[in-house]
Amino acid sequence: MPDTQWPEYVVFQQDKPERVHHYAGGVHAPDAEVALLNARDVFVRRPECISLWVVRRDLIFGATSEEISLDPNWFTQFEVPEGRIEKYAVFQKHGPRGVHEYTGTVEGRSSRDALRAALTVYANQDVTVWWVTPEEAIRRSTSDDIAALFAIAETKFYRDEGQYRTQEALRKIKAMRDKEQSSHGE
Amino acid sequence: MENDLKDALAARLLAMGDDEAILGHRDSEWCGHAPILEEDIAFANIALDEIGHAQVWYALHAELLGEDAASYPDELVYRRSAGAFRHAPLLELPKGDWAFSMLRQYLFDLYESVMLAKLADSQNESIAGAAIRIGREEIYHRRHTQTWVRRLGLGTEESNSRMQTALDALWPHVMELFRPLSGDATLIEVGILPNLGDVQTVWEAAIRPWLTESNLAIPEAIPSNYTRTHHTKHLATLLDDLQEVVRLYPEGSW
Amino acid sequence: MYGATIDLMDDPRDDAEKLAAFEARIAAGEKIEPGDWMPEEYRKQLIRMISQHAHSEVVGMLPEGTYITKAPSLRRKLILLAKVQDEGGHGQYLYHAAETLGATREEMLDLLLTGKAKYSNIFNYPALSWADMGIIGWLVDGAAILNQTMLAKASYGPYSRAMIRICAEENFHMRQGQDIIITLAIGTPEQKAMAQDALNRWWWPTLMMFGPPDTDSPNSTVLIRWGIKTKTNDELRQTFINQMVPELQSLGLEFPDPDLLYDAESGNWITGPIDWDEFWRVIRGDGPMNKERLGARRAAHEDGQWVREALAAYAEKHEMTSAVL
Repeated sequence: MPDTQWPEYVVFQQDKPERVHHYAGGVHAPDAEVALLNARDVFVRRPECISLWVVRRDLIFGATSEEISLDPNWFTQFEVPEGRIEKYAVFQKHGPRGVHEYTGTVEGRSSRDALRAALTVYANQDVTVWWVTPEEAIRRSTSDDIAALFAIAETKFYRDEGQYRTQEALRKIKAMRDKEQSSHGE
Repeated sequence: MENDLKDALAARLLAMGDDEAILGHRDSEWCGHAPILEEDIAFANIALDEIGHAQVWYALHAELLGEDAASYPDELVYRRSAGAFRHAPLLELPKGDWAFSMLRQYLFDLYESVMLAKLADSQNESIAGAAIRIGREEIYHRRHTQTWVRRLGLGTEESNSRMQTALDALWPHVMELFRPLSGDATLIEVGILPNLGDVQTVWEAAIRPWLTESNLAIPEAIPSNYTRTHHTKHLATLLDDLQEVVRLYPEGSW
Repeated sequence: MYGATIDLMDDPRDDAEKLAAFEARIAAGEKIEPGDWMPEEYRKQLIRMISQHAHSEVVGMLPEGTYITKAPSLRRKLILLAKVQDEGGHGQYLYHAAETLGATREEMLDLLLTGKAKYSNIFNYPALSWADMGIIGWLVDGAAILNQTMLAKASYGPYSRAMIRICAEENFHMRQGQDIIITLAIGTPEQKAMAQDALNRWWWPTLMMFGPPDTDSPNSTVLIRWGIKTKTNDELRQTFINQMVPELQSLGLEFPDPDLLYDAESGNWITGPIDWDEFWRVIRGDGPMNKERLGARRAAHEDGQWVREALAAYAEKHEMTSAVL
């Protein structure tokens, strides 16, 4: 049997209440519950997280501004299915630095339809990448998870580089050795 | 504190510390060898938490004996011989396959979370405070391990059969977690420690349906011959590894 | 996702125009994102480089992993376990970055396990004592930090972002290594000897970590032109030597290099000749631990197969993946 590493989920992380969710990376998981737990283990080994969202990678539809600007037919050349209107979450990446951030929601009959709506609603010169995904596809941590899943990273003092005063120790040892050597020389 | 009570509490804290230290050690053996990269990371988190819990209980044990809370835990872990350890033998068994390690972790996590919930009301304030702090981590452990037990139990024929084999091997050793130490009665009387029979009742009420719904048959309860004072041969091997560096350079500080 | 819309695109430009625009973006310091047009060679080089880097993190868990159970205090055990766990996390971030280019983790792991993909040579050397944990943290992670600080500026957005996250976590790795070595160097004579022995064994292999000399580095030119790398192997190696020599000497440790000298004019420490024959030997699979490392990875992979299958089967049976759609 060929190997399976399970499907890939994209992880969005919220650092503080006043900040929006941003793209953190991805995890592999067989289902959304395991994906959420894995996201916690991979991305919250250190504190600074109050919420995680995970979305199956194949449920995210994206386009870069370059793609959109180069294709004159981008806005027209696709079929909008008959299906029901759904809510989609929109993510934007701004400028050359930074990562994709949650921007808001739009409605659409397909991912591409939703992306077209997003381009109208959230138009911004600065956007380099657009992502949309059905709101229903997002598995979210809850407020109850903050204490159990995220806050406990605070007790892991040993990951803080400030715990290791090595440069200070090296300077002290060097000074001691220099002093010893100069007194030997006299 | 009266001497009897003090001795009883010291013995209980030592057993609790040893449980966590030995389990954390076994869990740490998986780091780099787990079935998928995400689980290398997840299981290491659990191991880190358990070793952290050991430090908490050992520190209280040290304080009670008037020893240095920072250095005494290392004395306990690195300079005792096998016969002096007081953890349940369940926790020293070799890590086995992923089913064995995951199921052992689940059985212990559930025990620990029930125990901690009750210890949060302990008449001893230090213990109650520690139980509340540690308890936060156990909520996450329990969610992780029960998620896995369910999936391995119901996954494939092979995973189910490996889980059943693991359960059959682990079950006789579980009962030792609920057997009182000689001084426990004194502690229960003054409200420092919960009645372990009550802990077991809550534990069984949670664990039996979860295992059954995971398509695992709960074996007859035949306690093993090994106890907190009579360990399996695996403990000596474990300590040869754990204490190797310290034994090589006994004068060193690290 | 990401670049999956490429086939929908009706790009009117020819290849020369595309390449010129691509190189202009890189020259302007812009980041290339999945979905943007990129030369096939850029994509190939990135997948090769990022997956090798990911493999190095994962195989790199093994040498230090052997000492997690032997760490000589509870504090050291927590630190080492957290560090090796971080390496796994870094491998995870990097595989994800390579996946944005269309590589799958199944394919990448298959190439690793069948011996077709490379990983850093350094992990084909054995860890023989507790002091090795200190020297690996100090030298190997010190070298990795220099390399990764450069790669954090890489032109490919996902690689650069993974590197930024990794660099932020990596300083702890080097510091804990320094902390181990300082403790040993001021400890008993036996402990200091242990530190010296570790430095003797790891110094030359870490110098080789930066790759072959610039005169002999086939991929460097294109990697630099496309902003994947911004410094040459020899430049990074010299920075590393200049940083490490005075620090370790200040502890009274000696370098296993009779030719090592300070050149006041250039301000550089100059080492004796590096044994590049050894480097190529280890790359070809003939290092001291190549078989053991791959063997350990294969064993974990094979022993874990039933686990991965079981959870996939559970998800399928319970339609958990479609339940959220």
